[in-house]
Amino acid sequence: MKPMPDKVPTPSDLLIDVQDLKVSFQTDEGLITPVDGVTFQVRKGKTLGIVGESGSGKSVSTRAMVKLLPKNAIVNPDSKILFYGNGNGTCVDINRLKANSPEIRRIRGGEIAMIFQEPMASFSPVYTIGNQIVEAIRQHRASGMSPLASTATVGSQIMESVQAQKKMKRNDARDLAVEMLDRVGIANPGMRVDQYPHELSGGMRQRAMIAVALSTHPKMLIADEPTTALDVTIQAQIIELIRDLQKELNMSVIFITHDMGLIARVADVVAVMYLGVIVERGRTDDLINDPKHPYTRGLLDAIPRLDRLDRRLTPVAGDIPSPLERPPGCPFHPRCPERRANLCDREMPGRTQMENNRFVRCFLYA
Amino acid sequence: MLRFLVHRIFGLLVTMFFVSIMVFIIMELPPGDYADRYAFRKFSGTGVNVTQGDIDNIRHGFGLDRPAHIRYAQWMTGILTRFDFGESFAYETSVNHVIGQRLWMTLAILYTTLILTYVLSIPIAIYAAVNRHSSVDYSLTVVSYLGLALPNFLLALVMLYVSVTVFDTSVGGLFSPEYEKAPWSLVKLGDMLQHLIIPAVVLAWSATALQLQTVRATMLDELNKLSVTAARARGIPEWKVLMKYPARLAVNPVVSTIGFDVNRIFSELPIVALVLGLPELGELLIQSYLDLDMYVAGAILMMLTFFIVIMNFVSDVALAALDPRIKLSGV
Ligand SMILES: Nc1ncnc2c1ncn2[C@@H]1O[C@H](COP(=O)(O)OP(=O)(O)OP(=O)(O)O)[C@@H](O)[C@H]1O
Ligand code: SF4
Ligand SMILES: [Mg+2]
Repeated sequence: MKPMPDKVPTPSDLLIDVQDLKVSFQTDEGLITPVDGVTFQVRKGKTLGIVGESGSGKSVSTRAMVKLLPKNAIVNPDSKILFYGNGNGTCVDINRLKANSPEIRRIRGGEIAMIFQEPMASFSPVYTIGNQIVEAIRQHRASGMSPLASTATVGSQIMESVQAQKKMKRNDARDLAVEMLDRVGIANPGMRVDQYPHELSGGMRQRAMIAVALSTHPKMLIADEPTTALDVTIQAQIIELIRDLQKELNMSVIFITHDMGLIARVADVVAVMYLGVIVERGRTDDLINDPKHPYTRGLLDAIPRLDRLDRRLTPVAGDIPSPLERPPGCPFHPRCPERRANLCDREMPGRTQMENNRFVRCFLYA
Repeated sequence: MLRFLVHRIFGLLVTMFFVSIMVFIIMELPPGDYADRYAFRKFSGTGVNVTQGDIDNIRHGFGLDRPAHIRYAQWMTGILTRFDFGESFAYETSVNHVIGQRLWMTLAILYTTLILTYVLSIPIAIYAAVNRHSSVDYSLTVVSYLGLALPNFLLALVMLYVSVTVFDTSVGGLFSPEYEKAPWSLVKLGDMLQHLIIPAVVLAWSATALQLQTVRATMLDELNKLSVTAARARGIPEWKVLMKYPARLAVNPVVSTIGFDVNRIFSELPIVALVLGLPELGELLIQSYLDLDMYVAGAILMMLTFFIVIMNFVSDVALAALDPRIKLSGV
């Protein structure tokens, strides 16, 4: 890995800095660009929440961060994904790494881990839970490491082990897997480790998925709608668990969801996405208490006051256009109750910066 | 797994029992028996007047006058205790002797065909699926449509022609004349393989075409699974991801259709064998059945079904070993 000199001075607690991320797909109907210039940062130990309706590009942009997109995806070469994982102020541009190179694979899973919406589908049905945890551990961790050591020491141990190419012994990795399962709150982990995914309940599978992801002590966890498939009580438990582990490991989290009510409880900073752009971003309190963008307001209005957790969003009138028919101008204008004729349908609004590192993309504030 | 195995073995024995009864009933079905046939063959045109008493004597000589269930019991006892399939009337020697060489021939063709089919179709289909829209992928589609469209006796004739004119190999039989009686050696094995390859290619042709399509489709399906993305997200090297997750599941449909493939090979073998002049069981089965040489026909039927049942068993067990979900629900 070649560390890039840190040209622009950045706050030392920055972990990842995504600049102008653009992702297109070559499809049978033509080229579509579901992520069109997304910029965001995540600070160490903090949580960025990304909200937006289906198809807004949440999954695509986060998968692009670890080069996990299918072959028909094209990431703009000028986009930057600067990862400050070394802890010494230097960064790597993940976008410059070659697909499937050892460098990207070390980051993927080792430094940036992911969990997904469908815990059942995230596991292969033909291997035990333990097998899939051991696989992750042995891929990234050296022998002689404690299960939940402080991140600093683990980080340096990983570096050493990668240099020495010493894989952890299978039995040690298995012991670690059991400890991890115990840590994520799975009862009787010694038995569960040898079970197949279909033998676990939905909530338990998501806990196991978290165990897989965190067994390598990543610096960042990308949780792509981790609780959408679970019922409300389990959902609350899983969120609690992620929060606990985040503190313990001093880990950053990107939490993706449809649910504005949920984001308010987990995120430090919220980015609202619509058709491949971030239309508003700011501190969670600011954004919830005083939403600026018409789309953000629509999302917040759609939260039922009393039971606000379990409802899928049907926020704003109108349908999301298909990525093939991207509206010109402000992408939200066909559905916007406050659109301005001859402006919003012609020009893309720029970012309007506000206090507390907040911005909004809307002509109402230009 | 042990419980599963015991279960399946028990099922296998029960199946074979019913198969043996069915085979025996089929043997009894055609009108007349070998005693009639024998009397007709021996005396027709000689002017000798054959009486019913003469035929009864012949029938007694063959043991065909005893009731069917007794004959069934005797036949089965012979098979189970001495592996003795009885006497061939037409060849006037034991069934085992008549069948022996042809059984090996048939098995050799069967397994060569199966191995050839799987060795070709599985890796190529996996490669094509991983490299979708590549030239290999497109050629696979063309070749497999050809494979499904071309009747294999036609292919057999073409191969026969090519091998005789271009490669100057003798076809027919398992060995070239000079190795027929020679003791086993590497050279003899090579000679045998050379003779096996043509029938194997002919018989593997359509199966390969079919399996190419199946494996490719399953692999494409599996490649899109979230568990594959999740494995990549763990930073596992790409080839390892492919082999451990989608490829392993892509062979499942192949494994589950082994019995079907065996069945198909047995039904196509007689025609191919006829064209290529191979002494195998299917051809003998038809001939002896028409001849009312019942114990030969019955033995062949038993053996062919036995191998289909066995291969189905192998397929079941392999599938259970490959997919843990089956072990729990399947018993
Ligand atoms: N492999 C692909 N090929 C073509 N288009 C794709 C591909 N993957 C995603 N897309 C398109 O990209 C757009 C954004 O998809 P993405 O999965 O990022 O949405 P999302 O915000 O995560 O939605 P959801 O909330 O439903 O998960 C969608 O319109 C989708 O059709
Ligand atoms: S720019 Fe115009 S259309 Fe877009 S959100 Fe603002 S007011 Fe609505
Ligand atoms: Mg998504």
